[in-house]
Amino acid sequence: MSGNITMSRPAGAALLRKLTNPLYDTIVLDSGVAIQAIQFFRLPIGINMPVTAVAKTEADTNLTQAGQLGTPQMFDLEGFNFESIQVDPTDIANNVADLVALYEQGLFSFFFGQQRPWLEIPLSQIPTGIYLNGTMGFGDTAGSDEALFIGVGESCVDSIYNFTVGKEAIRVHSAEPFNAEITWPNGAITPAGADQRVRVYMIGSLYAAL
Amino acid sequence: MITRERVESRAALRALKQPLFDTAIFDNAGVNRLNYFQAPQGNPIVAAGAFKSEVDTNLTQAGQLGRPQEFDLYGFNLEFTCDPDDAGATIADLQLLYDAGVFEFFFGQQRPWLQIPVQEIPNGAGWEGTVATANVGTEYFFAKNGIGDVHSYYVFTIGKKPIPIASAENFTARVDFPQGAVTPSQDYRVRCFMKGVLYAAL
Repeated sequence: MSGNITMSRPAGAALLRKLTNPLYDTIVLDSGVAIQAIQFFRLPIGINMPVTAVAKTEADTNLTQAGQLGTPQMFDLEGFNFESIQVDPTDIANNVADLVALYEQGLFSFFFGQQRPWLEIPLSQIPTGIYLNGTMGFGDTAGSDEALFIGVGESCVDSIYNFTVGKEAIRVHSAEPFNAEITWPNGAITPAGADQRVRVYMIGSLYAAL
Repeated sequence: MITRERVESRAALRALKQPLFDTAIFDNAGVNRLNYFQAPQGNPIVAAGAFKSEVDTNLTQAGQLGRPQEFDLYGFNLEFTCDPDDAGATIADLQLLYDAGVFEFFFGQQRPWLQIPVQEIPNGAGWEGTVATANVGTEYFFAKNGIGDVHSYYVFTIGKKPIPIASAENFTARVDFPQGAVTPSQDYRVRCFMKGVLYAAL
């Protein structure tokens, strides 16, 4: 064998901007269809959203690669929010039924790699964070008006599931695979109201290219 | 020849912000005690034949963590899941739980380390928001103990120091009704959380 054996060149260290910018991803829950599990951070921008079959935009996710950040980005993970968007707040009966189905026996899991959970916790422990909030009053004599804006935890920007230990954020490297999922191990749920958008936020600092 | 027992090698562990949790049913057949952390995953949760899954508990052994896991305990939450569109029944059943219940936490079997009325143990994160209806005959109820805030839990530390729980150390929690059994109008899931840091295998 001719030639020398050498070490591969180290990748150059990029200059990055540190941004207070969460990572987020959205799934649409299909009304009337049994759902056992939903996965987040696997389908990046441009890939079709299941159920709607419309390509994901930056309103749905800010991931550009499946299950990883991509070079040279990094992320310091501090915690999680889970948001259930009540697309039809005037349909209280179905919204209430769907909220109970979603939260009562849902399990939130977060993984680095594919199989090893770093967090496995009832979904009711993952707060919504900030959401629509306020006061309503109806004087409709026909008695048919109603509306609902419900979230988990107070509607507040610092309401997150804090995942840090000793206030130290967890560094997610460029090519490190990660994903989140919600499962219903005691049995599938079947949403009754309109198709519902649900979103997971990884709260923290994004290190992005200049 | 007499020798010393080998010192067990120490495991490398991941520190995870992960509570321990367990679920009991506030059973409409009558309840005089809710037991926690005694029946791990795979054991029956109710007499009806359902078995505990990972959403019911994350304990895999009865009353202990199992090697090589360890835990730093900071406090407690007790989560009651309402039936939001049956306000009348849920209000009465909530009162049964919170008026007469005593929360107890034990290391070992008999010696309580905490004994306190249940209403002192907050729900923690829970449903908040606004509902308004002008429909005659409809009602909604999203009550819980304390504000539905992620930071709301019963602090069990002294001087901000958590209580370490070793792998084979026995612990259990329960809600007792010492004045006599209570009978809610329907079944409710009541979950107990031990808040803290779990040290798990790599």
